[in-house]
Amino acid sequence: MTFLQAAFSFLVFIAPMAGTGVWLLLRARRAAANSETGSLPFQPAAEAEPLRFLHRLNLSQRKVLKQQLQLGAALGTMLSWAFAYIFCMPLLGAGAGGPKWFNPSAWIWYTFLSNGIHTVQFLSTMVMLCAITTAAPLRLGYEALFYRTRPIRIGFLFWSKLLPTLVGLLAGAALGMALAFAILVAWKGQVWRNLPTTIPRALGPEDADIAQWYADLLVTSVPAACLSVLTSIGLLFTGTLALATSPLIRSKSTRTLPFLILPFFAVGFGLIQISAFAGERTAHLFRYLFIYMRLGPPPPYVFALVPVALSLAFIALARAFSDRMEV
Amino acid sequence: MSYALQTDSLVKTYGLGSKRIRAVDGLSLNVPEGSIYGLLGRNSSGKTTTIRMAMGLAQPTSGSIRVFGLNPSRDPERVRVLEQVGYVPEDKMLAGLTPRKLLELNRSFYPGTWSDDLARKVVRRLELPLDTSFMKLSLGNKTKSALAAAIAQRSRLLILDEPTTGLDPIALDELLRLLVEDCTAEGRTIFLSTHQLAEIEQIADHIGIMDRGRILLEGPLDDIRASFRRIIVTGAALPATHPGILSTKRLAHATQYVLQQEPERFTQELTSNGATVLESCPLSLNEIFIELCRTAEEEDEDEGAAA
Repeated sequence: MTFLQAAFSFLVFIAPMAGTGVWLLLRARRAAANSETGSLPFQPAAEAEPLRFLHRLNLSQRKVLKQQLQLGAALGTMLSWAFAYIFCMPLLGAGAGGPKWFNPSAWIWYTFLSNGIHTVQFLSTMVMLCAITTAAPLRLGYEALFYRTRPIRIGFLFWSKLLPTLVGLLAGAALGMALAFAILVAWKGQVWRNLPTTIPRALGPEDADIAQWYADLLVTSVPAACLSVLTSIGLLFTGTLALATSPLIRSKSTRTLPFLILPFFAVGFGLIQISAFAGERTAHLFRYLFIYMRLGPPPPYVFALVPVALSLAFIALARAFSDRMEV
Repeated sequence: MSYALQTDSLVKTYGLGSKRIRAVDGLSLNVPEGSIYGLLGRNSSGKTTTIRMAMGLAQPTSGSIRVFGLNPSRDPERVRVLEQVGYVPEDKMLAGLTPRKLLELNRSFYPGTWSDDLARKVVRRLELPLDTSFMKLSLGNKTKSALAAAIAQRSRLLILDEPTTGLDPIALDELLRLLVEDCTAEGRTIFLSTHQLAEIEQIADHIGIMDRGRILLEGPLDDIRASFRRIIVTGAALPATHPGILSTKRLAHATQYVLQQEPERFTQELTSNGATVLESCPLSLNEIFIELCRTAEEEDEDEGAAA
């Protein structure tokens, strides 16, 4: 990828987020300027009539839930954009390794899927921060002091933070993947339909890697890879949440908590990288966790239940911690 | 008498093994309903920890804490406690909000008791800018925002942890007036912790003095003032110990006693034994506080040396 291509690619990714950031900044400045010219008296608008399915909740519960739904929607939007972008990165500058491949469609499809299965790794920091944001009103700083001293059950606070964020992340990822496939089809057509079932020409020893990668590509299951992305996000998110609510991590600040959790992830990430390429025995671990570390034969679908069960266990753990945690 | 807040042999420890700290050490407090109760103490005396336990933010290690007879540590009782309590914490920062947004947010948690009129009144009297981001607000204005939100809740109990932080003398005066005029007039209870004794003395009717996690003294302020006295006497065979003596100090030609109970009776005993009282004066709250803390510290040092 040339410098210009990289710059263009970065610009495409950053433009919507930078635009939103500038808009928010301008809005905040305008509000600040208005406040300097003299405040309006405190005259709050009447509370809107609740939606039908929220009738059973009281006003404070609806307020908290509304905030979290907005946050979940914002996170989902951001994540879907990031997913679509990372999947489609090869389309923005796909030519770098292409000439070595015997078939342009095969190269595009390979890079598209390779990027796709590594998206969780690219976005792991974002998922981690989302989990920490979920834990914040339960244990961190003034946000926790505020929400934990309002007349609202800890259980409600926990679930109303967790579910919109987790659903937002998973829906955002799913939407992002769908968007990426739509862009691929619109831009390059259905490239997976144009793949030769065998390698069309004799490859020399220097092309052995390509032959292996192509063989892996042919047996890759796209639905399993997409499902793996979702279960991996769930696992990463809930694992971080359990850590963030755990009494082992003694932090009362949103700023320091990531630094306390980071070593766990550095070690975990390192172990994953080492064991993924260490040999067949450790590779099984990832199959059991339904993690697609590289293209190849998919793990059986039933293994998807393992990360789901682990995620549920992490959530149960975080819920138990949230009752005992002190601010 | 009914109590808004009661603790019994309350203990809170942090850490393990040799690093174990007893932040609250067998505390027994009684805050009568309808009173303005000032909890006084030096830094790290356990005031904030006690308040955090009252708000359900920390769990007692042992003993009990009750707010309107309810346990604030466990749902659903915790929620019923919080419906009746307004709280201003020591740390008063909610990033990304303005005071107006904070008031609007807080309003939705107390639909039954919240008063927009009272919110406007507090905002006006404390001269609080409503639309400035918390990031840009001064410490005093952050304090005012938290106070406005808590006062407008019109809760049965208002718990204020160091509520005077950053306030200028005029804002402080307005706050004290608001607390007396608008909060206690409706029979609400105010429980405030501080080490600013002069302000407490102006408005509190009950006080508790804490030091190193323990309560040194508790009761109605007028009774406490009446029971403390400093006398300077001369004479032979002056007593060194007596249940009423808090501290004794030998001066050049006389002896100074600080008395903590029944000062008249003790003075009569002295004069009947031939002593001459040179001076007798009441103690200010500040002097009472310092005497109590010093005496407690000396007793602890003596116990430590004996051990």
